[in-house]
Amino acid sequence: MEYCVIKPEVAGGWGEHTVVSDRSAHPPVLSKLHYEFDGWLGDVLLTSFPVFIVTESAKKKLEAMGATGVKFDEVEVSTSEQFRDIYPERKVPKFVWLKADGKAGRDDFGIAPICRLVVSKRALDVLRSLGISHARVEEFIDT
Amino acid sequence: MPDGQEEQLDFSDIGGQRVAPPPVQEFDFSDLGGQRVGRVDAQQPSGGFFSGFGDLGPLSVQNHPGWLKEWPTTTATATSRQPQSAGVSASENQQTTPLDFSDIGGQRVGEAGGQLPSGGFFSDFGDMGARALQDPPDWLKQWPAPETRLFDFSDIGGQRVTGPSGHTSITPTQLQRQATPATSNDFSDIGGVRVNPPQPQKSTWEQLLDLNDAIDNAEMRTAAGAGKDIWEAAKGVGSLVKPPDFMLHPIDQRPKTLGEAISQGLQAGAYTTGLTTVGRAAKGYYDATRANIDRAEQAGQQGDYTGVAINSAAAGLPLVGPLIGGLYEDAQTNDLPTMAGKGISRIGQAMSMAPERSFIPNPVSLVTKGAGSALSKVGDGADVYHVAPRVTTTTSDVPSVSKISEGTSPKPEIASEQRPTMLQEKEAPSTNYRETFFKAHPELRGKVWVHHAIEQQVLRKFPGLFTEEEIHALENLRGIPKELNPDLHLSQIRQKLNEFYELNPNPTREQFLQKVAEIDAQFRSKFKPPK
Repeated sequence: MEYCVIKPEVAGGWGEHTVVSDRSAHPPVLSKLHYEFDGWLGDVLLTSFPVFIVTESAKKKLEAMGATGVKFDEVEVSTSEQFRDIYPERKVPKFVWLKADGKAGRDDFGIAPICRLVVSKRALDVLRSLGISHARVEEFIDT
Repeated sequence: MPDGQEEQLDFSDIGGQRVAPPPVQEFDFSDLGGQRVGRVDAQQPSGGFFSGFGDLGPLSVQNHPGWLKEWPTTTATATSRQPQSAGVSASENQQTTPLDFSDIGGQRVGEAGGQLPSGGFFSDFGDMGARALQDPPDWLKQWPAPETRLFDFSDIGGQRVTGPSGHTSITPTQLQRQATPATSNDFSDIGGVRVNPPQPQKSTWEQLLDLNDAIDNAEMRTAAGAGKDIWEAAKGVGSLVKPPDFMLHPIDQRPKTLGEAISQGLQAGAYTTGLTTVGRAAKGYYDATRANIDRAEQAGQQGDYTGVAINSAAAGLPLVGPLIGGLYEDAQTNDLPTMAGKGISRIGQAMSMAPERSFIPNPVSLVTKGAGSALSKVGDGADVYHVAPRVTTTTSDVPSVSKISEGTSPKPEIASEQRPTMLQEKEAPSTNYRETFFKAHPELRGKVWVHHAIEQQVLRKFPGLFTEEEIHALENLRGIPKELNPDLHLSQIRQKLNEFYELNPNPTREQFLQKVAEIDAQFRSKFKPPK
């Protein structure tokens, strides 16, 4: 099975309701995630170091394929004032927090050093079918 | 000259002014600090920091960098041409006049009278003589980049002098005259005398002027841009430091700059403990470094960004900084031949001390990091700074910041009034950043997206590193025209910042500013107004 490092679109950042439970760790550990959109190119998988979020529809597809090494949690989503001004009509779909906890290069989702998301080819195919055109995908070389 | 006898380098008459009477002075660093290292070496472990210098004197042509090896023949020829050098011969170089660095900076310290206390700030310097190069202080580890080249200024200031395919070390054996001046930063006529173009038959003096010209072209054309960047990134960094507690100076005499702090700290320790030989050398070095730092600050305040670049680099260069320091100021008051001679002489000394890939850093990396970064490294190693572990500016409208901070491991934070001022508001602080931007650029209202160079979320990801006022300050705002698909560009910028967060668990303000500068350089054509 092939694996890839995926660097998703960064559509925003931590919102003010984000709660960090361990800031001394790297990556920091978050107990609550608030993702604030400052723009959005439409990808279903987004990031803001060190977290990843996916649309609810992507979550369902991944669960349906039996993806390993991944859990989902709630995320609070909001849009910035500028986002609302520029895209007054744009509605952001429901997103969920994607928590990869598998082994990189073995599970469908895993985290490589410096918080790089590693996905299997089959998981990548699912995400691509839903739209991740602004993500950068590189071959994963397991060292 | 007899076969097998090495000709010594003679810089004494460069610049038309004899700096020492015959016999010619060699470059002998063996007594750095006023005491011959030979005696010190006997007490030092093999391979110690200064032992390398002890081996340098007298310097032979064989252990010079390659470019210098071509000089002896030329110099020998020139010697006969230059009347003022008529009395110079290699055979007279038996008496060596040692270079004494102990009074660099203009203040000679009293006789050594004791040992430096161990374990403290001064011991770091006092022990320098015993430090092996393999175990330098932390701040020094940053300086010799793995691929350190000789003085390569080709990409300083954002304008590459050489081709974009790679760096080209500029060596005197491959002088590169810039045929088409790319910028207005032309210092080739410093002192009011423009260097003549090269002639087919050149005297040694003309060749030296060529070298000076080449250095001008390679370094100086871009120095102003680099200096401006440094100043913008690091102005006010001197206010970060506080003097050590033991310095019980009256308030009005307490140091206000890093240079003053270092110097006063050294002096205080010196006068209370006495100075060893190494201590005197350290003090002399740091007095000179202080002078360079102060010159950089003064230059920046006067808008003299070339001065910032040169003096900042001199302040950051280990060992050779004092050789370089002051040249720029001299250049503003002295004639070109004098300056050319002095400059070449000092470069020769520096080069002699710095074989390629040695511990002398590539000035490019120094300039890139900026004076602030360099100074902070010094501070880290020397324990000079007292960084206030408090945040003096918090606003009630960002409760999440304080909430997030509760129960977490606090990072060292810098009091806002002591921070570099690059991002500080010139007007009253405002969190309505778009209004701040359009107030300054009303013609762009409705035409651009306003983007934070340092993202707002940094307030949450790295609380205490920047204030809200700094984040929303005009200096931190960028406008991206709507017709340029700003969403796409902003996504690219955010991806770069995301990678920065991944790679830097505890980024410093200087690292942030450096990253912003990189991004600005890449996207500057997209910004309105351009950055």
